[in-house]
Amino acid sequence: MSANRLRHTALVIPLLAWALSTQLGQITPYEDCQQDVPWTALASCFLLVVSIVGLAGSRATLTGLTRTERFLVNASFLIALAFVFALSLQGAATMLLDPCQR
Amino acid sequence: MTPKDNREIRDTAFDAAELERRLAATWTTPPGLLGALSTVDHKIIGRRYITTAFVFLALGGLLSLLMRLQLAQPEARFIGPDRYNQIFTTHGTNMMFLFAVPVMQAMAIYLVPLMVGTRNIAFPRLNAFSYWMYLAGGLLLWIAFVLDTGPDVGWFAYVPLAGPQYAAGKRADIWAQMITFTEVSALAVAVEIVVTVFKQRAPGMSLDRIPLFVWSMLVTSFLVILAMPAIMIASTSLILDRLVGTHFFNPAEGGDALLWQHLFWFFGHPEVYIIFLPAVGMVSTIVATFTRRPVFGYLGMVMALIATGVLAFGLWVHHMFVAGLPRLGESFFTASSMAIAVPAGLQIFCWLATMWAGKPIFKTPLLFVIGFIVIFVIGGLTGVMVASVPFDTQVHDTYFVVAHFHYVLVGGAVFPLLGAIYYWFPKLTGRMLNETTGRWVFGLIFTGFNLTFFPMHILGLRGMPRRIYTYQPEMPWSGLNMFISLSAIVLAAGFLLFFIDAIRSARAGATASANPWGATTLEWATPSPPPSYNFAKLPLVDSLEPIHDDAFLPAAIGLRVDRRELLITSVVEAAPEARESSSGDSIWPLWAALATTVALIWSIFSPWAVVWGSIPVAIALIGWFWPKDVPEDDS
Repeated sequence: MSANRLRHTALVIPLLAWALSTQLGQITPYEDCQQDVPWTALASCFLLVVSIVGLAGSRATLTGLTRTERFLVNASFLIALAFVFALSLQGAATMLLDPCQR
Repeated sequence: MTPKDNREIRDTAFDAAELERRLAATWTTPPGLLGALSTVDHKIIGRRYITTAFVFLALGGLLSLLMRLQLAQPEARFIGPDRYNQIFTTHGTNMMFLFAVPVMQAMAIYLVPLMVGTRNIAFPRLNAFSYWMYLAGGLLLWIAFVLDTGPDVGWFAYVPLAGPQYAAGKRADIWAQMITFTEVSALAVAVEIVVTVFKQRAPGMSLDRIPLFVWSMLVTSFLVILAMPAIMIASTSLILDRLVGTHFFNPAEGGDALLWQHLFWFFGHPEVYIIFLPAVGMVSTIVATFTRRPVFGYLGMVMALIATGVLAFGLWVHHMFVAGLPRLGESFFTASSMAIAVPAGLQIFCWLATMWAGKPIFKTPLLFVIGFIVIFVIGGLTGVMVASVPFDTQVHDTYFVVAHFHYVLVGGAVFPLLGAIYYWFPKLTGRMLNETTGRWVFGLIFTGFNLTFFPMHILGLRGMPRRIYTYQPEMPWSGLNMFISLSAIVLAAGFLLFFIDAIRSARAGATASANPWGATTLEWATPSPPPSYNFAKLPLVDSLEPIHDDAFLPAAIGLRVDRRELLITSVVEAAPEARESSSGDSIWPLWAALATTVALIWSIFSPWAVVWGSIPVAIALIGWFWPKDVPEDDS
């Protein structure tokens, strides 16, 4: 995989992780409640870690970029940061709320 | 030179006057009724869209005045409950689907091709088709309302209230099919804008040199493309439930009533940002021009636009906090709702920093921007409040929510839009709006808006539900309601003055120069109003502010003048790739829209309309795409 493709893949990870976490948030609380296993918290924390790794990976190789490419990578990095923040808030929610609560 | 090249007449062969004459002959819409109905000029269609949308704004405003008249006193009998239901439904539906989204896209139809330095929008016939579809959808709603068959199920038409069990007649079907009209129209425009921005930018306008308004419309267009299919599926399913007895939303037969809410709000929440993000672009443009400096934090602004656009798809459940979903699942949407405040806040701070570091010139457009910042911040703060499940549970379906979304939508979209109209009116018409009148308009609308809508927060906290047609005198609401109704007159006076000023100035306002504000984006590099071909020679872009210092713009040359030809450029760097023909005027988009209108309205009454109604649609499309013996190949 080229460095360019690696950078873009890494930056898409937090967005996909957030989308997946948001969907799982609609599904796993029912399982959490029935099985008494914190699947939602585990999934959320796992996706948060994956996102941070993706974010870090995107900063690994920044040499040899044109001005426009650098702009795109920097914008994507900032966008990804917003999703890492949203994921961290979702992760915090799993620590605070009872999955059986309606 | 090949024989083919000999036949091609390029712009390099003529002096400036002759070039403009030949370009005008190629690009100008023929006069007369047929020319008006056949035109594919993005400027003519954009102006039509804007004018039609403002007519719908005025009509929707009249409905709100009727509601305020009814609610001014307890136990009023001015309007009955059935008509009141139609009025608030038509008001909301009209404002969301016939004004807010179309007017933002209309501004883009007019401005984006000019701002990226091209001669027409991509897929110009589709653009003409989209306008006729939009007009037909609007007429459907309003004719139904006048005939006392207007929708009465609220602008989000929740089932089972809108289903066959509780909504007899065709009122809910009219709502659902009107959605189809406006969404087809919006999707068509969104596709055009995406292609125009990605493939028709002037040479040198790389992605980091795109004006922020164009960025905002690009993100908005992707939101339209991704969000609106959800509501089209929902409204079509509703029509099927009502017409042929399917059970998509009937729990008794295996359907799911909550599915409607999920589908609707998966569209409905991004819809808020479909309306708000263009306003971000407008505000950024106005702030940059009237502070005489580029917007602070261009990178951050682009990040905020895209992040807001994506996050918008993870908020829809915050409209369903009282639907009985698991609290933990709801909290995920609270998290995203809080997170979206970060890019929104970033934008606000970028604008404030720009004004702080610049030299603000307080003309009317900037006044509307300042009004926007004040009102939108209040709306944003109440947004964070209702993103909290416990608070939302208390104020759900009260006037607090009515106040909140009017602060967000009017503050977040209408104020920037009015600022944008004052700003771009010279480009649209070649004449200036009156500055003194503009200050009065701003003062009346800003004062009237806040006096009208801020007390609604208090009404909501006192427990007044939305959508009630009257209330008892012993409820603690009558004094505030009277105050709100009187304040609405101030607000209406502001809009009336605006319409008078716009009509008067369009006819007899001061003549505008090409760049009356000293702005730096490309639309100001061509006369006001622009000629049919936009630019005699396509500009070359070398910075974010391509017309800085009023310097002579370098130009791209080599395009043909004997046919409508566009320059196609690469997505990232906007490097020239090809010359491509642009469609000429055609009456077929109108016929296609008429045929589609007949099929869609007929399908409210009979499922066979889908079969038989598609035949004239197919005939119209064959006429539309019939080969013209003119090569449309790239060169």
